[in-house]
Amino acid sequence: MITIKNLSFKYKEINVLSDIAFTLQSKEKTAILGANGAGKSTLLNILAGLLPPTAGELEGVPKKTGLIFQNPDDQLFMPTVADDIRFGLINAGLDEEEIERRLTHVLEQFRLTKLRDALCRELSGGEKKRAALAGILALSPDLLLLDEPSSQLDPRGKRELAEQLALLPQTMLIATHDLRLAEQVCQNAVILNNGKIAAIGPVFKIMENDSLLYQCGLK
Amino acid sequence: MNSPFLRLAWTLIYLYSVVSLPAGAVKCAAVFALIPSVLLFKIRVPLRFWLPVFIPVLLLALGNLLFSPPIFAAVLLLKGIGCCLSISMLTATTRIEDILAVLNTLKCPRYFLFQLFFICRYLSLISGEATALLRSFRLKTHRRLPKITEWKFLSGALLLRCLDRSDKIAQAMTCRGFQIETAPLPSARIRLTEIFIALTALALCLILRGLPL
Repeated sequence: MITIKNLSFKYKEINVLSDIAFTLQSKEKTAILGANGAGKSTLLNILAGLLPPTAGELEGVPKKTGLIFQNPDDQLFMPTVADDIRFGLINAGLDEEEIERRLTHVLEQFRLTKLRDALCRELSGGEKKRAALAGILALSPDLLLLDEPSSQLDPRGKRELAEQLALLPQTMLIATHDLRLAEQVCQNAVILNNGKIAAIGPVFKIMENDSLLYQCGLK
Repeated sequence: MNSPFLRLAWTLIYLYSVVSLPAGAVKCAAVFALIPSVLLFKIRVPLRFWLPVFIPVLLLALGNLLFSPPIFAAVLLLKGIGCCLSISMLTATTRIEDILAVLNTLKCPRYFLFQLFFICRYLSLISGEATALLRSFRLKTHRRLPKITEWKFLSGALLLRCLDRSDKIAQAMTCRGFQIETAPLPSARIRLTEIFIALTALALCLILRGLPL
């Protein structure tokens, strides 16, 4: 179980996040919903250990945490798809046999086998997203943090992504303003509005509250 | 020369020999400049890959004409051409990972190796960002190139965009467990015959450098 206790983050005297508190059960998939600038990405960066919180505590955050960036171009920095997936595995100190086994597995899982030696910069938007996800999932993280995973994807790409995410066994936190994706993948949702929690609860209940969604810039 | 060690060794020996040539040794500089030119032509590296290196070299030599006799500028031009072409040849034929592996085997400091690796990665990032920036400029202004006064804004924007993206890439690497202190570096096997060939190349370069041309 991951517990976030009164988490706050200030950037140049601006309160980006204020008093964020909720728990995340093991294997649970939770959506962080909010309009642009609500603080979703900052919360994910804090959970991934990239930003230190100004105040508050994090308990039970697993060491193996994977963060998928909003823009896959920032995530794919090695020349080819295979090189990029191998990067994390090499850093994890795995032997060559295990690296090859995991590489082959994630390439098959995300239908990237044919693109194994393709240059990352020449992939389509959907392929880049899948490659970025494969690079993180090859490391078998216990907690998966996804920042706007459905942005830049066409409807078919979004549907396929939702299906793949729903099948993953990891504890997951998805920052998005794509309500359909949240409904398809997550059990619970947290709505952020101007850095504060506006609502928290089961996804289907939150989706029924039209006025709240409208107020928070989600409809 | 299939071995990355030999290619790297040859480039370093060549650079040392050319850079240390006396300022007036125009014939010797010409012979040295000819070697990578012939090799580049022989291994069929596309012109667009190595032709741009002549522009800064030419500017440097022209600038030198203002302060010193023409023969010095000519030697500087030939030295510049030789050095740039030999480096172009190395980068066109050898992956950065292979160069790092050789340098790691030769016990180069790990921080230096990672800096080299990042510079190579960031060069492609800068060129990608510059292309995107120029494309959006052309679409907005319907002009092929910016005016001199506009370059400063574009350079500033390019710098900020590159800093932002490199920051993101550093975060992506950290998220995947990258730390300079612990990150594994590849190693290369260097055979005795390769060392012998490298030493022979060094001897030949020194002999050529010492010839009374």
